[in-house]
Amino acid sequence: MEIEENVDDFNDSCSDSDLADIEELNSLFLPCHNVSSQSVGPKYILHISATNDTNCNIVTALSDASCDVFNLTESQLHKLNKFQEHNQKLIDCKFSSDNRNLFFTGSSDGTIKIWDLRVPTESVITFKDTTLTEGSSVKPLSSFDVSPSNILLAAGTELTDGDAYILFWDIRNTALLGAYWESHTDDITQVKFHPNDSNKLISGSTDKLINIYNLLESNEDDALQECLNTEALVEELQWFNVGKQWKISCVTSTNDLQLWETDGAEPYKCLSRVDIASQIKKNPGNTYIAAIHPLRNSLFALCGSNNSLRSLNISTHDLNSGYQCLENTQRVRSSWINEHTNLLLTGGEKGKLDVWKPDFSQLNLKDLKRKNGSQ
Amino acid sequence: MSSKVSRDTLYECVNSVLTTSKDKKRNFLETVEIQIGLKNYDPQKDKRFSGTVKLKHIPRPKMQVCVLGDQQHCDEAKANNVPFMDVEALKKLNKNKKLVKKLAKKYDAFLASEALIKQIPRLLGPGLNKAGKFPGLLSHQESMTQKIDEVKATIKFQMKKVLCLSVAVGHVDMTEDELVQNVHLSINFLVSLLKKHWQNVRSLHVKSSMGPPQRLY
Repeated sequence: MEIEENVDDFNDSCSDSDLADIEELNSLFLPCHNVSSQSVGPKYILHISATNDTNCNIVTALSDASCDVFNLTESQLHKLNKFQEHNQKLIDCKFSSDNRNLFFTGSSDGTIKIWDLRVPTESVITFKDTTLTEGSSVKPLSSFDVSPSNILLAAGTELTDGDAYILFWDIRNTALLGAYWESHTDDITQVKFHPNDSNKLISGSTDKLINIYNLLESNEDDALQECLNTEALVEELQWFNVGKQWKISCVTSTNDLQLWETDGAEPYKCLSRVDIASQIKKNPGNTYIAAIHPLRNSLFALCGSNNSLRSLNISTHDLNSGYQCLENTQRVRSSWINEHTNLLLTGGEKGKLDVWKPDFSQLNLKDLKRKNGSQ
Repeated sequence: MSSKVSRDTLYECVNSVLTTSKDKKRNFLETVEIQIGLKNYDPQKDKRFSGTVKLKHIPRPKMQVCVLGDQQHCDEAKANNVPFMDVEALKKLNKNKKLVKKLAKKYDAFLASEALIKQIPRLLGPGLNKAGKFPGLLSHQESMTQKIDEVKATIKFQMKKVLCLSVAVGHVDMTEDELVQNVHLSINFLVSLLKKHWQNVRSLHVKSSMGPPQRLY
């Protein structure tokens, strides 16, 4: 009987060599230059959010449960302040979409806080489960999102005493509005509001499901509209649109990517870790998906392999190479893009906040050239 | 074979587990699991270590799968002695929570045809979700028995807060070769997900439910 011999190679050697030579890599991937970099110290930068203006503010959530905020002006990073109050790991951070001085943080300590950049000493508001009674366990949060209307706050929790919750707050007051707890049976790793519809929410869990809810319904049974069974553990979800059609991208815990229609019975496109590795010309044993960002009717997939960082463009019918971030030196855990200001921010396990300036308009040009070239 | 765990060591280990189990026969079918202990990994800041993997040989032969099928799938299920329910049977449950819960308890997993799977929330409410048994998709492109076997052969692993993980990869009535293949596949898969691969592995053990752990690495 056979045991596959070659499967061990990539584990044993941890070989990080490229599967193409430099010339081929340069013809496939556009260069993406690092214009500025700052260190936060020997911590991981786990989450990044930025404001949408040109001289943007950037919040980084660190592995010591603090946030460092920077300003980026004329390609130079200046540290503004440190914000620290949570005593357990940070699960996400987000700038408010209508006030560039406010940002949200969520933590597995069970709370979400709003911070004002002008008041670094303490948070402005804290949201928690106000229905908790003496002796009952705090529900550690594992994800959160703010509605586009800036009125609703939703947070997914870890499995606690047999239930996994989605907690809802009205941002204008701190009492818990309500919760769902029947639709997932394991940690809720993602909750995302539809970018244009505050009544539509998706949640993803390590129970393998992506659930879609209509929040206008008065109870959870009726609110649950669709359940998409990914048959994998959901790590990250994104809403993205192709023209008027909204779809969902799902990154699994094993670094595979699934693209779903909201009423699909199965993904309409799947890219495995092996597919992604082959496209970024790296060994699958080291390849990971750092982030997925919707960009111009397709998806900008930031992918890494140890210290290499490359991007791919993914659309329904195409998979093309994008950028190579040559100066990258860390495993990337968080990123942010702004296509209007040609900005890419990355943060990772060596504590570096890197600022990159990809020319996003070049991406389409490159694909067109390649298409023409192949005819 | 990996330089970390030699072919001989793997066979010896699996052999010990099987022998110990045969020496002290139990009145139930013992599962065989691998236990992996990690090092240089911080669950507070490192990426979640979890996923699903399909094994070569079915570790849980007694698993009961029920098909929620369209006409074609129901006929196929009947012909293959697979338990099934059609749309009418599901409608009869009338979204009654107790009945849906009872259905969920009766089977270990469900598969549903495309036409049905989209209607599940409306036909049954969140009952199957609550039981952690929302159906997987059964398409007409693949054989039913093959998909059922795939469901039975797929295991989930998820490390939460402590640095060790236990995964059931077989049972004591499997042959030595079958167990070795399942153990080998699982270990390789798990290690490939770790940032530093073998440098993140502190120890590996194989054991049967009632038997002592046998060290592999």
